[in-house]
Amino acid sequence: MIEIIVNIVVYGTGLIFGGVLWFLIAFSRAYASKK
Amino acid sequence: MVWVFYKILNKSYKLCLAIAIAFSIGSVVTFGFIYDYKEANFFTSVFSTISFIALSLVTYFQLLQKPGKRLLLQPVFWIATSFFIYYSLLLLRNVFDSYLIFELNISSEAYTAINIINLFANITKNFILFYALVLIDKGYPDTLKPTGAT
Repeated sequence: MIEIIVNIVVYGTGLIFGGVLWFLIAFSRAYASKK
Repeated sequence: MVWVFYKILNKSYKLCLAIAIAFSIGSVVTFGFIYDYKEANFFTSVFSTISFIALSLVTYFQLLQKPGKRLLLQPVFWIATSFFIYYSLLLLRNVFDSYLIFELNISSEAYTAINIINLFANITKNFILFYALVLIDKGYPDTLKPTGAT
């Protein structure tokens, strides 16, 4: 049970971090196109 | 830290005030009536995490409403980014933390991976905040530079 939850936390955090980077890149592109 | 966003977000001071008041009342209620003082408080960690992610998203939205100078030279963007990355990385840890520690009694070896995530998030946040401070000291935003500074 502990391993399952630790895996959820670790891999889920990796996925979230990827999503954050994707969001930041998309935001900077949108900002540049609006400017 | 809500105060930081209160200084950044010019229009949304009511949102910051509402979050601060809700956090204060909720933390007092949960510490007083629900949780023992030996337990980690689930409400404060998860509420602060979600509210800071929401505040940084509001900051991004406001930046997009009024595009000004170059984005990478704006300290507001870097401050919001640091909090956004930090609390996004700690979101799942904060959700499962009290369950792992107090219900499952996780060992310190099994907790190492989560500790590494915590360290990475802290280091990233502090570096980005330091870069924002350098930009403020260079005088890039006219609004954020302290009036007494030379």
